[in-house]
Formats: sequence, C-alpha cells, structure tokens
Amino acid sequence: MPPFRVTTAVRAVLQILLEDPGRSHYGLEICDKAGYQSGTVYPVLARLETCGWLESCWEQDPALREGSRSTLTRPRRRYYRFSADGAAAARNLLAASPQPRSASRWNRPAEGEA
Amino acid sequence: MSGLTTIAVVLLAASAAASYWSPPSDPGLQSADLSFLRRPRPFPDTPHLVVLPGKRSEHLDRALQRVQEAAPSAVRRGLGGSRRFALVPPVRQALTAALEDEGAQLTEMDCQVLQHAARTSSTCVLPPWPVAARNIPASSWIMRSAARIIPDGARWQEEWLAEYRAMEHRPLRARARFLAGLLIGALRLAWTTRQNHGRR
Repeated sequence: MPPFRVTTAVRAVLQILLEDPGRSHYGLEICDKAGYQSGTVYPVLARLETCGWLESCWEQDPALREGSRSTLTRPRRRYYRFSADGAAAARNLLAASPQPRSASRWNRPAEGEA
Repeated sequence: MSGLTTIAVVLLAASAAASYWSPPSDPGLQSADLSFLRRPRPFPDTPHLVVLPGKRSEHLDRALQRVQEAAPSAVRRGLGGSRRFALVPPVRQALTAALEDEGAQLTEMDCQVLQHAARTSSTCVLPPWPVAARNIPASSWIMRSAARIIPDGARWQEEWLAEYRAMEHRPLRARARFLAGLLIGALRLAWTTRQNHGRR
C-alpha cells in the first residue's frame, strides 16, 4: 500500500509520468496533460516526491556549462522524474488499485461494442 | 574573511530587498545566522555586485569571477536610470555551474555558503530600486502569499514563478486560473509538506 491516498488526481499524474518514465516533466506540463489545476497537481507531486517515487531537480542551462551567458529569460523550472523504483511501484499501484467509479463508467465500452 | 561574508559578495541585491528575503530553502541552513542579509545595504549608491579584495583560494576566486561575469546581464535599468534587478536566473545558475566545477576544490564552508546562495538568491523577487517605490505585480504577491504558509516555501515560489513566466503567451484567463489554483492548493501543499517535515 502506498503511504498516500490514491485519488483520481494521483492516478492521472502517475499515468502522465508513466507515458515516458525516463523523461523529466515539469509541473505546468503535467497540469496541462492531466487536466488538473496547479493547486491539485503540486500537492500530488510533493506527496510522490516525499514517498520517494519521484525525484526533482532544477533545470540546467546548457549555456552556462559551456561558459557562455545564460539563455534563460525566466527562473529555472523544477523537473520531476521517477526514481529508480518509482516507475515500477507506480505501475503496480495503477494495476492493483481499482479505477475510480466515475472513470470506470467513462471507460466502460458501449453496449454492443464488446 | 569568514565564509558567510562571501555570501555578501554573490548575493547582490538580496540584502537590499529586505522585505523580499525568504528563509533558506535548505533546512540545514535555516538556523545559520543570516540576519545580516536582512539589513538594508548601508550604501545604496555602491554597485550591487561587490567583490571583496583578496583571494581566499584560486578556486573560490574563479567561481566568484564566473558569477560576476553573469551578473551584468541580470542588471536592468528602470525609468530615470534607477537600478532594477531581475538578477536571479543567470547569477544563480552561474553559481550552480561554478559549484559543480570547482566544488570539489573548495572548503566545506565555502561550498555550503555558495550552495546556499545558489538556492536562495533566486528566490528573492527583486524589486526596482528604491524598495519604497516598488510596484509589486499581483502575480508575485499571490505566489509569495501562497508560498509563505508552506515549509520550504522559497522552493515552491521559485518553481511557480518559473511556470508563470513561461505562461506569458497564454491568455490572461489561463494565467489567472493557474494563480487561483496555487492559492487554493497552497493549504493542501502546506499540509502535505508539514507532515513530511514532521516525519523527518
């Protein structure tokens, strides 16, 4: 059992991240893809990071590494990605926990379709 | 020169923006005596970037030199030639990059100080000079207010600010929704992060 409540928002965030588990995602991107507000997504990210499923790091500006001036015109983003065993745990969780009622209703195939 | 003095070298206008100063995002450093950063700068007309004379070590000097080189691009001038700071991304990133390259050669104290500066200098939303005449955008005010109730709020404020700045091309409605979401979600985020801090 994960140390947090598995809400539809948590499921949505995990599904987004699992689409490409090796890639880093930033908060706004997850909000857009999951269709949830910032106020819902950031607490979920914080929870997942706390329990060790996600890791986060600040955006790196490659220009600075090369010794030239920064090309970023805004503050650095925070990127989230699965930790070593986070992706597997997330997959297990999504496979094991039942779909929320509303989601299962929408996902249910139409009559006569099956 | 003590290690903490070094922070004054690289923190530029952070000390000038007294009311904007956020506590260090690193809990280990929250107990450090950083009160001098909250003091108003004694000489408002002096350059914001001050490199103290004398070398502590080759590596620290080189790191600070890189920070100094990054600083001019961060300095903006407002109406009437008044200094205006948007310092933060280039200087902080220069610090981070310098730390990665030189960190192994620096003393632990120097590293700690520079790391602290790299983390926290960016979280100061720097106002136009003078502070009394500043005009704070509503978005900054909302993000700062939301972050204030969250432990380690400086990190979240910085993260939101980056996202908000990236939304510049989006319609006002989308940006307003983003900010409203932050305000509403701040309580939940505060609850989550407080629980985590409690566990630690």
